[in-house]
Amino acid sequence: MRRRAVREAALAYAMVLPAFAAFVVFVFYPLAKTVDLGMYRVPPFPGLPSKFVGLSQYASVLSHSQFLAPLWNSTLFVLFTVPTGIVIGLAMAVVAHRELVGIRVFRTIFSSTIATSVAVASVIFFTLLDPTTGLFAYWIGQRGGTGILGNPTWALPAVAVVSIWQNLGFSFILMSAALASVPDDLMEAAAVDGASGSRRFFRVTVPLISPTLFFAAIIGVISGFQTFGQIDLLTAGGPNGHTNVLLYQIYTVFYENADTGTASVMAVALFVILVVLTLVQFAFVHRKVFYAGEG
Amino acid sequence: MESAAVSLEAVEKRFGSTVALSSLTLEASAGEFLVLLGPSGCGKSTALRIIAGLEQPTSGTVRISGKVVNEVEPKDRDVAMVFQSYALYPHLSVRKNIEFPLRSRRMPAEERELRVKEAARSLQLEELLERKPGQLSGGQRQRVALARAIVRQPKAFLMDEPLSNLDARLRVEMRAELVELHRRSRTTVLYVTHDQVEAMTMGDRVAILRGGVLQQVGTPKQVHARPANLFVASFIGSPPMNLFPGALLDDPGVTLGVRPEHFSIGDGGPLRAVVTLVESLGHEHHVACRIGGADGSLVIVRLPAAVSPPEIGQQVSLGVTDRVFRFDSESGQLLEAT
Ligand SMILES: Nc1ncnc2c1ncn2[C@@H]1O[C@H](COP(=O)(O)OP(=O)(O)O)[C@@H](O)[C@H]1O
Ligand SMILES: [Mg+2]
Repeated sequence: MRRRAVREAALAYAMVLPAFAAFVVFVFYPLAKTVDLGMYRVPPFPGLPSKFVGLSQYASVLSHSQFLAPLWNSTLFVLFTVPTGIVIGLAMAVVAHRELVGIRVFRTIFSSTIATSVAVASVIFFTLLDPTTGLFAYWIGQRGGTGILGNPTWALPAVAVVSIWQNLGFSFILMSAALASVPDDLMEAAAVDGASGSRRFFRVTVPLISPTLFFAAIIGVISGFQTFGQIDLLTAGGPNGHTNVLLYQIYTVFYENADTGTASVMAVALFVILVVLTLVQFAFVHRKVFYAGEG
Repeated sequence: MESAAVSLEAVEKRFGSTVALSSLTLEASAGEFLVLLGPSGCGKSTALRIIAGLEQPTSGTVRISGKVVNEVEPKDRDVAMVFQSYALYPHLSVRKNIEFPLRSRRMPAEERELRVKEAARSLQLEELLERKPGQLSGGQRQRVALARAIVRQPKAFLMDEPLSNLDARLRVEMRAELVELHRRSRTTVLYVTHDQVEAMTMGDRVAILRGGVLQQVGTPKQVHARPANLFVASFIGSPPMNLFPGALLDDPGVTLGVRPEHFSIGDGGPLRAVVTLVESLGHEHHVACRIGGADGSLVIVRLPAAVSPPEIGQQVSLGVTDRVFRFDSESGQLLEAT
């Protein structure tokens, strides 16, 4: 019996090995390398050797506004996009959940943005928001000037709207699947129990789909902090750094300033932030989230 | 809340081309325990769901306490429903489950507490109040579902096969408990089941449905003693009534029916038969016999435990001790019971 157990264990490890090897090559090694790169100061002029400065570079970069300002922008961006995206997706799912004539058409339309890419969404909105030729300028009756994407106050919210719009299809499909998983007889029991529509929604539906809401929140926060394409295509971080989010800043520092040391520090910081946020969400929300079957 | 009469008048329900109910007229008077009985798919649940307001009838009128409620939302009908699946809220404790309908009606906290306590006590749930439904056995869940229904003191209870997910012993226990609950509260109950024993033991009256059509309504005694047609005759009673289409009378237009308990064995009766199977249940015996040769009709005879049953293969003579039913073979309607 013991020999068989050993053989089975060996087989199990052998099967895990390829995935593990891929992880080492594509995740662990780059991560370690990035942490390491963050300890070397890159000289201001090309050609000179990098200098090992250890953790002091982490201290200086992370306390500097070149990191803190983009971090704030990213935080705002996440606050703009995540709750709104979930609420709108859920609202559309609730509307489309009813069995009405022609509802399939709406379901298709609602999920359609899943078929677009960040690039497509950005181009569509770039065209819409163009200060001279865009429909948006026409609607608000204010042609010319810098346009909304050039406006320091409105640029970030505008990019957030593009992201919300682009993710709406995904959010809608996710929420529709969650609603479909709520047993009909529970909703009927609640109706017969005298619960109003809103009470049924908030006291029965929402708790039952809370795992999905939680999942959507985590995914949203992670992807929100990793936003890059929309910024690159719509504002390039402008005007005056108002849409310069963390990943865009890392990109700029890395490619345009060729400052691998600073960029690596920021990348490590972004990684740590995402891990911590996810853990905090787990710890905090877990108590509030109901998982079916857990009793 | 006062107990209420519940009635359906010429209620029809179609799902696309399926006719789930056709022109159903039925009334449960205030305080009555009315059982809807019929095989699976005959429209029992549909009838109950129409009364609860979970389905709209295609046509016809639904009344509760004499008031037409066709346009009244389920939440405002003041009836309580017990689902076959129990439909307990899995994220809420037993206490919160029972409390849910009271909170929906914005009852003050002290009264809520009192009512929950009382309902929990009458169904022996006091120890389980802080558990989640996932931590309960099937029988306990069933009790919670009942508690959630009675706590409201509704105008009527609608129960859709509430005992069908329980094992046989619990089912018998709960049957008695439900009857007791009804006796104490005297609240109207509409109770759906496909189990004729449940129907006969629990109902003040039984309404038998088939394919969406009402076959007969009456007390258990009435539907047993005078089944309106062949369907009711074969559905009610265990083992079911023996039916002899045409053959015995040489009149194909008439089908004879004799209940298994109305046969006697071996006292020189007129029918010759061979015993093919004997099932002894302890309190009674079921004896299967074939009359008139190997391809003759099969007859089930029910004998009391005190009578010792014949052997398999034995030749016996059968006599009829009680009434014989005559049905029209064509329409199935009862012609006479003598
Ligand atoms: N929502 C529905 N859509 C289509 N057909 C239905 C629906 N509900 C019930 N039916 C049909 O109506 C008939 C009666 O169903 P039901 O009332 O559930 O029967 P029972 O409860 O007696 O088993 C069945 O033929 C069933 O298939
Ligand atoms: Mg049913």
